[in-house]
Amino acid sequence: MADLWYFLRLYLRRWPWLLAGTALMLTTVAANFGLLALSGWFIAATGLAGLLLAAGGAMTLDIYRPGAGIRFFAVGRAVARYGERLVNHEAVFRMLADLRVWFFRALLVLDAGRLAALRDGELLNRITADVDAMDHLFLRVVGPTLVAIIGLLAGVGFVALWAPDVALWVGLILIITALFTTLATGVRGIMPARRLAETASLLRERAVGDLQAIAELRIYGAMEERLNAWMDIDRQQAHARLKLGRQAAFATFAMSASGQLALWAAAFTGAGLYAGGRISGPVLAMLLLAVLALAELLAPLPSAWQLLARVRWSAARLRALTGGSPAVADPEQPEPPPRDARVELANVSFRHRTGQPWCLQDVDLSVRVEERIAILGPSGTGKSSLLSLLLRQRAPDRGAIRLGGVDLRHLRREDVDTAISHLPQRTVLFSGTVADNLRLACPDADDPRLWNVLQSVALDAFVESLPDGLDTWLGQHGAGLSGGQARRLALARTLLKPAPLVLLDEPTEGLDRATEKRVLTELDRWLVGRTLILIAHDRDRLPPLDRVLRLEDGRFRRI
Amino acid sequence: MVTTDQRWLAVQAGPVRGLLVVASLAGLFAAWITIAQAGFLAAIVHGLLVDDLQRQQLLLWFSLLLAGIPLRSLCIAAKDYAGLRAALQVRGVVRKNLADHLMTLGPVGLAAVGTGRATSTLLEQVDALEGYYARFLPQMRLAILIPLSVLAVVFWLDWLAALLLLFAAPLIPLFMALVGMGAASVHRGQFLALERLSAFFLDRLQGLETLRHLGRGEDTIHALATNADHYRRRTMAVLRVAFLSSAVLEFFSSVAIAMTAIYIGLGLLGYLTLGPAEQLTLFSGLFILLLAPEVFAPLRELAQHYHDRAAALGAAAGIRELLGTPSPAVPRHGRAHPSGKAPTITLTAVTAGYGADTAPALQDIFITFPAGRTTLITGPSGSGKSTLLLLILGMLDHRQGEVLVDGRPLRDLAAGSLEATIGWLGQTPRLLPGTVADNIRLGRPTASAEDVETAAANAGVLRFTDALPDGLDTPLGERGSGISGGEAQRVALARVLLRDPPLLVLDEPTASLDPESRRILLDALERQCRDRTLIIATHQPAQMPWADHHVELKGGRIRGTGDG
Repeated sequence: MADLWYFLRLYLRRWPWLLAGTALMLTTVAANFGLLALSGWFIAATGLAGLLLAAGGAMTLDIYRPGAGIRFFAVGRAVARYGERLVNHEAVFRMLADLRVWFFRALLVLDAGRLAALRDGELLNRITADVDAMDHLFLRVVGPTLVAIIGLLAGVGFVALWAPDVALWVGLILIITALFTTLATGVRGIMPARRLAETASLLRERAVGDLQAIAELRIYGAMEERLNAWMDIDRQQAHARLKLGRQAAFATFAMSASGQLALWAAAFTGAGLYAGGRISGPVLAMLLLAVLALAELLAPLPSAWQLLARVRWSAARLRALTGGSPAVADPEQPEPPPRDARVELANVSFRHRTGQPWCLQDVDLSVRVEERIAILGPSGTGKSSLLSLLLRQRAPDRGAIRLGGVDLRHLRREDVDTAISHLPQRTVLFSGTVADNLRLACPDADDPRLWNVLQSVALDAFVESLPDGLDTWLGQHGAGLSGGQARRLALARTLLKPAPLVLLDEPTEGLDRATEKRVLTELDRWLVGRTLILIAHDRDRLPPLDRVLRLEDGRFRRI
Repeated sequence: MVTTDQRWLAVQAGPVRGLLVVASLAGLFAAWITIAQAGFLAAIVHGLLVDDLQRQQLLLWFSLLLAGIPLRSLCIAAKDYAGLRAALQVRGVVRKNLADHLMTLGPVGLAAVGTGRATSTLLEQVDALEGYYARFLPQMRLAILIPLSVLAVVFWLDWLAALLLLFAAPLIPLFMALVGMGAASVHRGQFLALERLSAFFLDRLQGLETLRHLGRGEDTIHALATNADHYRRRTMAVLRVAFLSSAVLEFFSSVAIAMTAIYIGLGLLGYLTLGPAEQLTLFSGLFILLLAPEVFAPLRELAQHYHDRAAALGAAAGIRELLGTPSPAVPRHGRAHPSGKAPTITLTAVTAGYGADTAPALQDIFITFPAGRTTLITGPSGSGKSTLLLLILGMLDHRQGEVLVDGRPLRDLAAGSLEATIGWLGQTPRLLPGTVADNIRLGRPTASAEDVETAAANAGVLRFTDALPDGLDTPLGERGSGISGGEAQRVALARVLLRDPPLLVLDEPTASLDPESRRILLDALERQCRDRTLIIATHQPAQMPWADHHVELKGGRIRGTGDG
């Protein structure tokens, strides 16, 4: 529940909208109540008056004011409903923006390891669905519940003004069933809702993993078995969904029956009161129709609370992702940003998890200003981990890392990022134009400078051939580019960023020899006055360098 | 206007027609009971107020009213439950068909579709069908049947009141169309805006580290907010109009109820003398008043479920498109089996490519890969090396020419028979959840523990598993998480060695390997696989000096061949 409360508080920042929306929902409910109750009274009153007149009696009945009232409630209901939908949709859009901004901000402080885990297996897709689900929290759960409670109390109060006995029975029946059914549905729904969420993520993980391994599955004849495994999970999921459906059907049954029962009780008690002369005929008819309107009010409650069980898991997942302390926290009293790009590692040890072998063990390294070095080594020996330590994405288990003479622990991560331009192993591009993607690194770079850097990564001819040149739109993840082109565009962006220290993680991976050669030769132009640490597999695929080191068994060896 | 997507949705409903009929019937019965109960209630009020009866004299009506309660509630619950059963059944069938189809697409087809799209179709889009079958379809019938039933009763009571209700709702189909149009534009406006916002959000989330590193975190947050704001303004402009259509329905239903109430009131007072107004009694008047909202309630409910339909139509388009994507793999209907000895693979006049409207990736290829020899395929990236391998594996069909295994066309081989004789290693090995040993055993499920261990030793797997507490029985996470790329490639190699196939097809197997893993792999190939038919695409032919033949590709054509 703490998770839900957390999100509710986030929503409450939009309280004027929520208040207006809820007020309009209540107005709609009140108008409906008034329409039915007044119509009931009117018909009974006119019926009785008509009989009296027909019998030759004399009486006057004001038909204009009730008539006007009926029309007022009728039009009011339609108008309030229209306004309610507009206001609530406005509110949803605003909350949606808030929620996304909140989520983005929360992920922004996560460390690299957790982000990578999220990205893997399309988990982010799942998360965006969770974020969408949170929209329901107010509109479909909290709002209707508030309206039901207020409406029910006000309605029962209205009935009590005329006939306390009727109000007692109606109130008892409606409130007890609503409470019991709603809570029961909400609580009993927790387990199947959890099952539903779990099977959904399991199926996603399986599907992503198996589809990526489709070639292996075909060749090793394992497709049938994997398909069966998918469908097993699917059946479990359908089972959980059906269980929720059964609970919902039961709740519908209970709510519908209680509404009818309340009406019956009102009729039965009301008949007694009428016989005793305690209420008039028209009032009896009015009360019956009023009870009918009240019962309608409660119908959506169980499904709202079942939804709550499902929203809860979304809330919990989102909070679990964003909660917890970051592996690397900013210092309380940061030092000023480093002034140059000297890099020193003193006795640094690092491993991903305790119990695992060391990735880096007592490593010492010193890179001078404007020095260019390469680090070679078998994969999995911690070359990329070394870069993430330098970027302060992770913290070493032992030892100290200094940038420009300042211990990284005393620097804000933002300042570290400003000092470094990093090309990670994974190529990341964004939906936007070619120029947008490049200018992320250097917002005030003019077009000639963009062309200049494109030429250095051998993309100039290609971009020129595109219909809109620099303004050509790239889809998500740079859709429209081949793997090698995307890699080079990412490299171009890295070179554009005006940072004194450049970290390149296998910059020419996936390029053919000729292009690789050209790109490596051109690097020099962009590295003037900067320090370079480059990671590569092959000794014979390097640009001119000052030093080449080899990382083996967690230590450096000079070559 | 029936679109193909609508037709597809209707076809899927075929096997669950029974359940859908049950759902509709249950809804209809509930409505009929409601009508009866309105009558009982009106009779009670009439008896009390007009006939001056005592409560005891009305017990029959009270009991009938009471008896209807569980029946009606049961029908309503049954309607929901039957609809859900139908929807889940459709979901299961569609998901199974999609899953089967995804598997037959193979790596080439899946690469064209994209894993992200494939999984989101398989999961979210199939889930999006639920509301259509569970709620919309049954309600669509009810939105016609219930108002007609109610109107029939009102007509019997007082035809002028029925006319009033009909006047307010001139034609129910017209109303449905109006509601439909309104809901469709709500859907277009709102859901599409949300979808685009989500896509933008996801795109930025996936590159979050990069944005942060580039110092663009705050800018992106700002962009997210302005983007959302922009969509909000545009969508609200659409919604203000779209909501009007349901407001019109709401307005007419309110006005109809009000007019009916006033008509009945004036009729009861005797102020109206036209038509049947003079025969109105408190019973018939109250009965009609109680029924009036029931004419419109099913329509309102249908309007609420309209987004289910729009969501299902969107999903149907995605699902149909995926199901309609033909498999690029070689169709294999034959019964022949490969000999089990190292085969000779021959390509004659082969042209192949991806997608009908793209230039061929390989053109006019004549090559023979002799039995028991090693052939290296070289050439710059994009020259067609991988395409050539996919042709041999049967994962990509050729447009022209023939691919022959020991003189027999690929399509004559029984499904799975060629695969059983192949060993394959790609650039990035894919491991499955399970232990390291499970992954190796995939190569030959019947292998003994000793054989698995020997293969693991020869592929250098033991060198890293020995350091792990559970050795070969160490479980790997989903997608082989927990070990490095080089280690995963060794596991994949062990798998190939365990299978010991007569034909080995390798696609740049050393490209992203560390020197140690590379040495192990090359050693194993040279020592253990040289009497097989070995076909290797590589950028580094110098690593395999023992190869028998070379083929050089450029721009999708053979540029040269050589021996040694």
